[in-house]
Order: sequence, then C-alpha cells, then structure tokens
Amino acid sequence: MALAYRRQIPIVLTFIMGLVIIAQFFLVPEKPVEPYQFALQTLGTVFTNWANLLAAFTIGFGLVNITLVHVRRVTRRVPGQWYYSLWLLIVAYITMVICVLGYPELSTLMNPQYEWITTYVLAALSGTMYSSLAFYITSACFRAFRARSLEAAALLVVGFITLLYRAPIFQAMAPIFVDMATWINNYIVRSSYRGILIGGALGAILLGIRTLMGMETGYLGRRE
Amino acid sequence: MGARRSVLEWIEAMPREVIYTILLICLIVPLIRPLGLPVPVSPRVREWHEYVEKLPDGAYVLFSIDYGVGSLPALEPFAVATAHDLFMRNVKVVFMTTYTDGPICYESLIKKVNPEAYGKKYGEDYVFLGYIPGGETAMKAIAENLRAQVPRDYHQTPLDQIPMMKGVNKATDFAMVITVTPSGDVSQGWARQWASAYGVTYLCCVLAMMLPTMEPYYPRYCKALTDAARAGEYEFLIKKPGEGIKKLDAFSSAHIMLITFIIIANIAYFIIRARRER
Amino acid sequence: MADIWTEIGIWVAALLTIFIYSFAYRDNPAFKFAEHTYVGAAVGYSFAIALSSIKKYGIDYLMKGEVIYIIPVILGFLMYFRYHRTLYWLYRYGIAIVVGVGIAASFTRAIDADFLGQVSETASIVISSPDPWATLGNIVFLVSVATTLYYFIFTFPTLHAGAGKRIADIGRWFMMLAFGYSFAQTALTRYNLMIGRLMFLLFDWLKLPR
Repeated sequence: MALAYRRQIPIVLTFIMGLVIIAQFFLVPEKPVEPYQFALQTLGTVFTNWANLLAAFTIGFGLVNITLVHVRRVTRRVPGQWYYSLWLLIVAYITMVICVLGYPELSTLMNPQYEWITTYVLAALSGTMYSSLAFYITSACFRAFRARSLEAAALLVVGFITLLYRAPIFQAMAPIFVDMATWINNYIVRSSYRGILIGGALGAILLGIRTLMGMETGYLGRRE
Repeated sequence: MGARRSVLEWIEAMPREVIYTILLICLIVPLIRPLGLPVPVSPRVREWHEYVEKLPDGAYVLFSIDYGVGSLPALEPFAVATAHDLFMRNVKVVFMTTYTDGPICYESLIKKVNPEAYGKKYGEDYVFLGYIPGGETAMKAIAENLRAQVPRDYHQTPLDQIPMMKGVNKATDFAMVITVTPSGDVSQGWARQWASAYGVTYLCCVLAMMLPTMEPYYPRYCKALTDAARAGEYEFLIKKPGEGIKKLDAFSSAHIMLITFIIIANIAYFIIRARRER
Repeated sequence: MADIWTEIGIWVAALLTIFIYSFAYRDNPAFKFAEHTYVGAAVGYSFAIALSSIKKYGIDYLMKGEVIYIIPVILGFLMYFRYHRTLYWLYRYGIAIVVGVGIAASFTRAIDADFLGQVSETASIVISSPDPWATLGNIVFLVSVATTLYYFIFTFPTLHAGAGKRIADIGRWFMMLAFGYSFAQTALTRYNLMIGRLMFLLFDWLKLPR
C-alpha cells in the first residue's frame, strides 16, 4: 500500500500527463473543430501551465538546500569553514529580503537597494565567475594543442585554423583562413554535430517513452 | 645535475602564472590604447541584419533575453545591437526571458538602448512580459496560448490593457522570434517549439562555443545563426558603436598571443623530443 | 547621495571581481569570501524570483476565482518536503507533473526538428556542384553524418569489430575535428566574458578614458 502512494501513483501521474500532451500533439489540429479536440487543447494548456508553475516552485530549492547545509556547518563549527558559511547565510537572507521588497513584480519598497545589490554584487560576481574560466581555457589550449600523435596533430591543425579565423585581424587581412574555417564549419562540424544530434534525439525519444512507461524512475529520487 | 630545466623545457611547460599575466596584458593594452584594426563584417551578421531589415511595418517580434548576469558581459552587446536594429524600424517588440536573472539583464539592456530616443513608448511599441518559468514547456505554452500562461506584464499590467498586445496570443501572431542565449537547451527549445512547430522565423545568437551545437538547425529551422562575439561587426554595420566594437582589438591581441604560444610550445616540444630520441 | 552609493557599489564590485580572479593564482581567503558572497546573493535572489513567479502564475489565478489552480499550488508546496526524512515522497507528485509534461512537450517536437528534419535535410544534399570544394564538402558531409551515426550504435558489439571498427574510427575522426573547432571557439567565448569585466575595472572603477 505504501509503495502505491509513494511510487506507483506518481509514475501513473507522469504517464497521464505525458499522454495528454502527446494526444494534444497528434490529435489536435491548429484550428480545432471537434469537441474532443477543444477538450484536449484546454487540458493540454492547463497541464502545461501547471508544469510551469511547479517549475517556479523548484527555483526556491536553492535557498532551502544551502540553509540546511550551511546551518549544519555553523552549528558544528566546522574548522576553517563555519565563518564563511555564516557569511553566506547572512548575505542570502539579506539579499532575499531586499529582492522580495524591491523586485518590480513584487514590490517597489526597496527598489534602489534591489538595483544596487543586483548590479554591484550579483551581476559583478556572476560575470566574474564565468569569465575566470578564460585563464584556464588559455592554459588548456596551450597544453592540449600539441602534435603528440596523428590525432592530436589533426586537432591542432583544425584548432589553429579556427583561432586564426576568429581573430578579427586575420579575418580582415588573411581571408583565406575565413574560407578554410567556413569550409570546416559547413561540412565537417555541421555534419558531425548533425550525426550527434540525430543519435541524441533518438536516445532522448526512447528515454522519454521509457520514463512515461515507468521504466526510468530516476526523477523520483530514492528507491523507496 | 638534471635539476635545472632548459629554456625550451621551461617554455614547453610554461607556468600558468606567466600565461595568465601575459593574457591579462594582451587583453588590457588594446582596451586602453585601441589598435584601430579594420572591422570585417561576416556574412552571418549581414544575414541577421537582412532578416531584421525585411520585417514588414507593424510586425511583431518576440525577443527572448535568455541569458543571465553571468554571461551578460558576453551576450549583452549583441542583444543591444539587435534591439537598436529593431527599434530603428516600425515593428512591435515583445521582450521576455526564460532565465531567473533575465529581468536584471532586460533592465540593463533597455537602459543602454533607450527606446525613447527612437520615439518608442512602452506598451505601444515594446513590452516586457517578465520571467516565464518552465524552460521549453514555457515556450510551448506561450506558443499555444500566451494569455493563459502570462496574465500580466513585468509591471503588473494585465495584457488585455496593453494596447500593442491586442489580438496577439500565439506563435503565429509573431513574424519572428529572436533569442540571445548561452544555453543549448534554450536555443534548441525555440527551434523545436516555435520554428519547427509553427514555422516562425527564428534568429539565434549563442556563445561561440555553442555555435556547433546549433549548426544542424541552420538554415532550415534557424534562419540566422551567429555568435555574440560578432557584436562589434553588427554595431559597425548598423552604425551604432557600443561595447562590442571596443572588444575586437582585444580579441585580436589575445588570439595572437595564444597562437604564438602554441607555435612556440610545439617547436619546443619537437626539439626536446628530437634531443631525447638522439 | 545616489552618487555616493554608486561609487561605493563600483568599489564593492571591483574588489569582489579582483578577489574572484585571485583564484587563478592560488586559493585564498579573499576568493573564498567572494565565492560565498556570490552563492548567498544568487540563492537569495532566486528565492525572490520563485515567490514572484508563484504569485504571478499561481496565487493570482486563485484570487481571480480559478479554483483549479489550488492543485498545483498545493503540490508545489508539497515539493519542499523533499528535504524531509520520512515525508520526502510527497515531492514526487509535483515532480511527476513537471517531468511528464516536460518530456512529452520536448520529444514530440524533437521527432521533427531533431530527427526527421535533420535526416531529410541530409538526404536532400545534391553532391555535385560547380565549385569543386563544395562537391568535396558534400561528399565529406554525407560520409561524416553516416559514420558519426554508425559510431553511436552500441547495441550490436559486432558492428564495432573488423571492418565496422574502421567505419566507427572514421566517425570518431570527424567528431574529433569538430570538437577541435569547438574547443578553439571556447577560447573566444571566455575572452569575450573576461573583456567585459576588464572594461568595467578599467573604465568604471579606475575611470580611464574610454
């Protein structure tokens, strides 16, 4: 009985949701005429909106998760870590309050503070985190592009032509590299990625069907 | 005896601190003292501009700002140039985002573009629907029934009360959908849910490293496909210089640095290998 | 007053940027401080977005009288039980709807855009062309798509033995060339991101002339 409401009912629910969307796709034309088509269209729209609303709930998981993890670190006074965790929690909750009171769709009480924290803290840190990979990609390119073997040499040649192609100075002064890189892009890159996309799509379709049939239950989390 | 490394061995295994320092110098110097290198405009950017140019008067364009603050420095210049190009014409632009921090990026973009300078009014010429959760499911939902999914705009005005949104409710009401995004899932999602499903003209700008992932969709589903690093070319083409054009010299110098390092490292590698074999 | 806060903000952003970049040289307390600030700010902001979206796409519908929305709103709150030791299974009802709808929405459209459309586009290639490079390219294109697809057939191990192995190897070579191209593009992407931040440091913080 416990298994029914813990696992089996959610699996059946997944199947029903998927079935309605698939039925809507196959049975409802652009301009519905039959009553069942209107019903399927409405049901599909309602379930899609429900899914989007539920996706919005999942956005809040981050704060809950880090609160649980970092409160534990603070209360246990994990050496070398607990004060960073305390700072993280302080920043998280102050930011949350400011954003709730300043985000235009919720309130305008703290709008200047919201703009300040999003521009000078969140945007600055986010942009810098992503961009710091420039250092590592430079040293990775430096170490990877070595002609140690035939395969590595092929990688080096294509990578080299691409680097020449993407530098604006060579685009202007040596268009031969543009032609070479464009040929590589149009015939080798596009074809390879097309093969990968077709293979991936077949896999995704099969995985989707297996998930709807209840054979793949990874999304349910724990086994019990 | 073998503790001292030769110069060649040092070059072949150059310490990362040296690489990073030289990289920073190569990026910073051209920003402070621009080299004034020529700006080549690629066919992909011209194609993008032509699709925007061909939009008929009164056409509706869905412009999805699908990037967050993390990739804002890279993607915003291209988004700004596209917004300038759109606002130069008599088209209606519906902005939206599928990224949680997309609203911050919208605010930054609109401040830089300044639609009022083009005589555009919010609610009559452009509108922002805000963040729509759900990813690809959201794209499907707004393609089928926009109002059922999004009842109000970002400023809490019901869509029925916004003049330009009258009669606009599904994908087929739009002449074009544009996305600027770092995410392969998002760019593919629009191709599946709008371009393939409803035949809406789809223009996609991604980060350079995501370009190969979208190549299979070009040109059948994705009519124009380019990467954000070409923002400078676009600004040059539409004569609206911005941040993109300032970066081009720095791109050139950083690439020259990387190419030089790779050449030197490979020469060092082959000489060391030849010596060891002897 | 606003100018003072803008200037303070620029200094805060600049220092946090330098703290993050300092990790490239070695891990240090300044980086850890900035990293934890980033995580805290990001999740705090995300929670506000979650509240806004729940209100806009759920609670407002309930207030308008669309009672049916009580179901996803309740299921949404139940999703937070995923952190509970014994009642974690309550979260599965909400996720079942998200997964069911999401999977069906994506793979129904993927049949055309990612499979049939790609196959028909490949099949419609006309090999011969006035340009000899284009003709060569079209032949390479067809061989590359076929061998790349062949490489990913793992169901029958005999296909990767003998002559079949050579076909798979050709596919692997084409993919390697494509990944080399993609890897080189990654450098440009990261430089694009970094230059944006450097421009902030140089022109907004240090006030160098643009």
